[in-house]
Amino acid sequence: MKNIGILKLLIFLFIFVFVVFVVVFVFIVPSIKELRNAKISHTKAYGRYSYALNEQKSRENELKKLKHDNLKIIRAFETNFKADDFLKFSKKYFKQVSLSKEKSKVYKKDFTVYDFHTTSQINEPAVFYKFLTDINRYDNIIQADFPIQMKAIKNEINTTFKLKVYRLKRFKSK
Amino acid sequence: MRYSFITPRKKELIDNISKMWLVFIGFVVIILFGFDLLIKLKIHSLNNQTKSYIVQTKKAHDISKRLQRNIIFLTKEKSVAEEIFASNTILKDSIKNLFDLVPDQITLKSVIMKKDSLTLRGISPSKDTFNFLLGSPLKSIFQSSNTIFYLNNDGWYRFVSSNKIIDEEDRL
Repeated sequence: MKNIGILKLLIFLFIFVFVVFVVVFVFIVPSIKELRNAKISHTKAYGRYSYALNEQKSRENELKKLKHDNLKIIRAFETNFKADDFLKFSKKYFKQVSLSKEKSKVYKKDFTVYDFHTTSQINEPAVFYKFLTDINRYDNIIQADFPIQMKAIKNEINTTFKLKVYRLKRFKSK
Repeated sequence: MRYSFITPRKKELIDNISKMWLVFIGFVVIILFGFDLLIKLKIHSLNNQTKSYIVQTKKAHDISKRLQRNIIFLTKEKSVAEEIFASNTILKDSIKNLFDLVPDQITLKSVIMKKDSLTLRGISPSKDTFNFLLGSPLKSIFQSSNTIFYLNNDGWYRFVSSNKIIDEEDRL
């Protein structure tokens, strides 16, 4: 009777060990391997994501700083050139000033340049120097260019020169 | 007719100890499968997060590319504006330098400045005054410098000075 009890115990112990062994090696071990691979992939994906996010933030900051530092230039390229306003500005320097539009062309792919022929009268060259200094602070991006002609008539100097107004191409001139 | 003094016990197919073993083995198997299920759920959750990170990484890359294009464009705007501002300053300095160069004895009547040439018209008390005081500095600036003089009735000279910068490429 006792022998039967010990045999039964051994049989159940064997069945227990076998079942546990099968479940662990057939189901749990592959799952743990899969979990390990999933963790590796997750860590790599998170690393790439963190890097991409940092890159995005650094670009955002760079762009923000660039916009902040060059706000006037950005606005000047977008502002429509108004001849009347420019003439009003020019009259601070010139006795008489007139502006005639000549042509427009594309500059460096993204910009449109409008050429103007300017005729003016000044008392002394120093006024023209002041004009050329202050033009850099005007609401538009304007370049004074050759040919420049200065002719003395009585006590005044007739000055003709070319003005180039730069604007972003995507903003059409009104 | 009875053959025994005691009532027969009910014989069960599986005895109590075997039942306990089977329940124990079943319980352990359920726990192991439960553990496996937890691992599978964790894997599922990790895979979902990984997929989400991949999508967000792509989005961040796209945003970075767009921002980079904006940065390049703004840098281009800035450099064009700075070129123009510098050109205005250089033009002002060139005109200023020219007028500073002209001595009090010589009076200019007209100045024509082009990108590569300068034509001056005016009056000078003598040829030598022009040549020493204005002609020499002009010759040092321009590669080609020619002056024609016309004698006035009052003894002064009208002059036309044509000065040109010859491009190195044109020389060859």
